[in-house]
Amino acid sequence: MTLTCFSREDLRSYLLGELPDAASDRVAAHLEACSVCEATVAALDREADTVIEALRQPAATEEPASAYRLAARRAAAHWPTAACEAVGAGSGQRLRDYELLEPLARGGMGTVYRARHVRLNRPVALKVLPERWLRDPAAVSRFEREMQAVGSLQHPSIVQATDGGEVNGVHFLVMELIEGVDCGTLATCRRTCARLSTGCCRGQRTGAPSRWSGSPRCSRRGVSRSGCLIWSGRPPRFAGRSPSNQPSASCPRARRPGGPPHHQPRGRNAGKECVGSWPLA
Amino acid sequence: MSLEPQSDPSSQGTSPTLLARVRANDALAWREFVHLYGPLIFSWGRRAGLADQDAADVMQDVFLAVARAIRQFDPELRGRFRGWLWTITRNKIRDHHRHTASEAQGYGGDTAWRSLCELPEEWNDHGSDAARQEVGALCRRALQLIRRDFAPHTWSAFWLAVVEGRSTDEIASELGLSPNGVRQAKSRVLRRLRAELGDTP
Repeated sequence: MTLTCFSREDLRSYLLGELPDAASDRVAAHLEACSVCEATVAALDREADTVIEALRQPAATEEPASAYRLAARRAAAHWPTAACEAVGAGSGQRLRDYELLEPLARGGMGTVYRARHVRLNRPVALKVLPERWLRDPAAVSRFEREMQAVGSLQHPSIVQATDGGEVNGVHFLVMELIEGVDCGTLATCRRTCARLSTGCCRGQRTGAPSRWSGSPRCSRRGVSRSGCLIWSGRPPRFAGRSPSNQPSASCPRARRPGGPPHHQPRGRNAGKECVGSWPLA
Repeated sequence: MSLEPQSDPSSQGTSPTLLARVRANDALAWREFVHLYGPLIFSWGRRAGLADQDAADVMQDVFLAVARAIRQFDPELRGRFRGWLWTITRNKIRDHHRHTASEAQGYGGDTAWRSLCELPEEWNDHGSDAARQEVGALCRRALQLIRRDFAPHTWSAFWLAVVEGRSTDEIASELGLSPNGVRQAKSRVLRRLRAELGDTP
């Protein structure tokens, strides 16, 4: 029991639940034995603040709008994914059999995480469709098509998709994890961004083998700089987006003397060679 | 209230607050958080002149932003959680107006601009009748979430004293408690409610 009496303000704070736990317990114990403080607190019984006044108002019974209900369901379902983006390494967030470890890259169509298949203990790259796109059926459909397109491709220069699916409305695509740097990072580091982006990576010259071009699932886009992965001593590999359906050439092959005409750089890059950061296949 | 009381924090220690559980990536806490703050954010959007669908979109954007940033929320720096949430919501509403205006020039015109200008920089529980009603509804939803943590007599004493505004002596007589027991019950539940709402200093 505390012998010293509490101030009127302390007692008021106690009644309104504004004191920390320990201080509140001290006041409660003191009140059991102090008639002076009990008289003070009795006089404060009717004190109210914003919270109490708000609770005394009649409760509204308005039915929430259907748009609200739908949005609330989506927000509840997709929060874990969004939270993972904030947590970073070691979050331990699970998506089915995969433990998300850290975000590797973010783009318009998704965030790619370093992840681990918990049963196989295998590191993977896991791409998640951003929450904002889930409101757009066309975007979800495009993501599904991308999963199918990537899943149907098999080539040493393409990052392999190994799994895909949906958990609580969260769409994801699992790919092999490639250690290295992407073309965008490399370009920034070497201050050769302009040449790379126009000559190699931006420019619809993705080195697609001819058998890709016949696939109806191969769509219209090229490969972004961040989708082109480079690591020491091996050919670049492409990830993230479906390859172009145009017969085209990767940087190394495009630079190879004597290659087929459609593998040669065109336009303002005609006759140019890429900077030597691209290991030849 | 549909939730049955199960335990009393006075005997088992205070259970972690909703915000603490959300920070710890508790899946159930995510859903409870959306249930607690969704209507408030939606209502803010509607009061800012957004249509239902737009207010719902803004609400989702706010939750996304909160999910990404909630670990950085520091009550000592940011004050009450409601204030922080309002700041995010206001920014998202402004983003929405800007985005809509860029898509269709002249959208909303003066009305949209007036709505933007009327958004206060800081949230005030006393700001208007609508604000007081929103806070009341928020508190009631929070009470639903915390009721399970209190014993029946504690909860009854709190409810009769705070919500129904009855006198302490009357409640003590009705429930067979001492007046100080009634005050203690009221204090405990209010303290927990404030912690649940992120109002604790």
